[in-house]
Amino acid sequence: MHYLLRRLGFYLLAAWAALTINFFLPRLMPGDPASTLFARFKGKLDPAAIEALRATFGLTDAPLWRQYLTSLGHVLQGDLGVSIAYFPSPVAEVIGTGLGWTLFLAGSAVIVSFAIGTLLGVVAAWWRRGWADSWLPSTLIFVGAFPYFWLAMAALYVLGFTLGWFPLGHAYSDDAVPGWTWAFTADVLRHAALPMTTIVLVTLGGWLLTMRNTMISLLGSDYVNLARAKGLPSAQVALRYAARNALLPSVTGFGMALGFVLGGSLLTEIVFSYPGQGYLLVQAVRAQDYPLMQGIFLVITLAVLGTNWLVDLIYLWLDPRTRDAGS
Amino acid sequence: MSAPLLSVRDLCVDYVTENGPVRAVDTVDLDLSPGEILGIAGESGCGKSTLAQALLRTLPPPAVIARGRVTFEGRDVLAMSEPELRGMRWRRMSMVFQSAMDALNPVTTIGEQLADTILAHEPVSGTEARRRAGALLERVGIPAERLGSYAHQLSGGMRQRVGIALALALEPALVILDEPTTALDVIVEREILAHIRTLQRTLGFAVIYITHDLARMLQFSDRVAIFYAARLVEVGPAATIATAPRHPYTRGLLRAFPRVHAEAGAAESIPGTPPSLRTPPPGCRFHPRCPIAVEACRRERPALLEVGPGHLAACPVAR
Ligand SMILES: Nc1ncnc2c1ncn2[C@@H]1O[C@H](COP(=O)(O)OP(=O)(O)O)[C@@H](O)[C@H]1O
Ligand SMILES: [Mg+2]
Repeated sequence: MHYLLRRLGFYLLAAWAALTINFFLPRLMPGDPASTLFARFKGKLDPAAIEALRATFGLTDAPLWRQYLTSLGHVLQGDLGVSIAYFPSPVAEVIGTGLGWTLFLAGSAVIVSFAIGTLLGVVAAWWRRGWADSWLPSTLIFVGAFPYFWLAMAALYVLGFTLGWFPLGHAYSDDAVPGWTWAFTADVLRHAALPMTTIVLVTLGGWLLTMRNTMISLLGSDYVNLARAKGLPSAQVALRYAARNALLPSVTGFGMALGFVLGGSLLTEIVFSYPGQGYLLVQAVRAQDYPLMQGIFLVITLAVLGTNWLVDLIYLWLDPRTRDAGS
Repeated sequence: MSAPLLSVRDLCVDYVTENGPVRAVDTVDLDLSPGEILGIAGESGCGKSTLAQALLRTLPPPAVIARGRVTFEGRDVLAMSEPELRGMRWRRMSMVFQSAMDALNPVTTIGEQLADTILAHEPVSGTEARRRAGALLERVGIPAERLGSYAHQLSGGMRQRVGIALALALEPALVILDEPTTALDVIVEREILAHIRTLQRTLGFAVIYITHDLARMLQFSDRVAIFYAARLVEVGPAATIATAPRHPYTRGLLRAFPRVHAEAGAAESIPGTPPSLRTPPPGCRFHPRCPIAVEACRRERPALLEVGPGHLAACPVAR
């Protein structure tokens, strides 16, 4: 418990640091980009938008520390300002939808890839030099070695365009009515299938190899030897003794992957025009939508911190040694 | 002498490495009676653990049993199938690992590890297995409340005791102790050995006790086998070996651990180092370090011959 609270404290500190950097960075840039920005938008944006922009940056006449406190207060209330590209939608709202789609697409892809890859790693290690071990890792590493962009484009071209088995983009059909209906769910899954598969395919090999290698080294450990010598059934030795311990390093990698993916799987979302965080980020850069960019960076930071905390929780549950480490 | 519990004949174990095989157990013959304590002593790296694991058939690759015969309770261990082995392992023959400190699964409780052993071999309920696990812990002097503890929460001595409790879980006929006390301090070591002795007297299992500490072993064992560079060089009753050792290596070992021969003066280690098993010296493997070696020792491997009642030695020179 003690341990978790301490970690939580650390993440809160890190989050605060991120917020502070997010506040000061635009102000530290040479040539006052905010003013340049306003100048560029003069005439293009209506005065209300410019006012919103000013408010986002906290560029009022108040002293810096007051601007800082105001900005912190806004963020804590979930107010990240107003988007320029999607004016007049608030940044929080724009990011909210993007984050939802990213969570769904990349989040489930990472989870699926981790689960399958880890399981295959256990199989490859346990039947080392067996048929699964001799072709699975090499095949998956081969697939993973392709430039992702190329692989995704090829999949989209062949399976989507030529064969027409999958839709060519977006999260759901234009004529679908969003809602918790079977028809809509099926439509969403059909749109997610191809991008999700490409992510799983290129990341599977990494999970497999990590798990396989850790597990092989643990198969020579004393407690696995003892478990075998005790006459336990093979499945029990493989899962409860070897795999259960070999999982620990993989879980750390899993947390990191999950954190990064929440920033949006940029290439996936571009290739498949999927409206997630990465897609939004590209839009924001194109439109020079600074509030949106700042908001996305903030969300990415918080996502990484949040998943790290989640991994701490999982670790605590998986490894009794960490439970006592804190006290 | 009753029918042997265990009999080993002509056993050879190789580690198949990239630079060719390394023979870690070379033509070993051994017998063990029910309820007997046999000590096996030898310097580190001479193949003691390899021999122990060969008996239980738990040798990890790249080790292979190249040749020989192991008969345990009248059955040919080397011919057993995997299910037959699972039936023999632990139920009839068990082992306390050299590194019993690291032999416990760090992520499950010791109670679970004791119970899964019982459940794997006996048709009892989970509750019953747990109750017995508690009784086993108490038998080695650990309160049953510690069933819920994890390995890292126990001291080294306690982990070693858990290792012993595990080995006794199914009341086997033979328990192999592979340097069960190396990682412990002298007081804990003495305590644990005394404990094993008491348990052995009440339960009547046979013991193979492996160590590099000859003095400790002579106090503990009925019979002693001395190992040098993968081969047996002397076997005999502990009392005989302690008072009238025949092989120059055994004599050297006794001088190196003068606790038994207190009057013999300060410890005097054997000059030289044990040979590499990759390129062992020809003839008698001890000859480069031997004070009484003659020309023939460099060429011919000496046979292990009877030199007294139940006393065998592989040295034709010593008297
Ligand atoms: N995994 C291995 N690969 C190659 N050789 C090994 C391996 N394990 C042990 N050996 C060889 O076997 C010899 C005996 O090892 P071991 O049985 O552990 O000795 P002891 O228990 O007497 O200290 C070592 O000296 C080493 O040369
Ligand atoms: Mg050893």
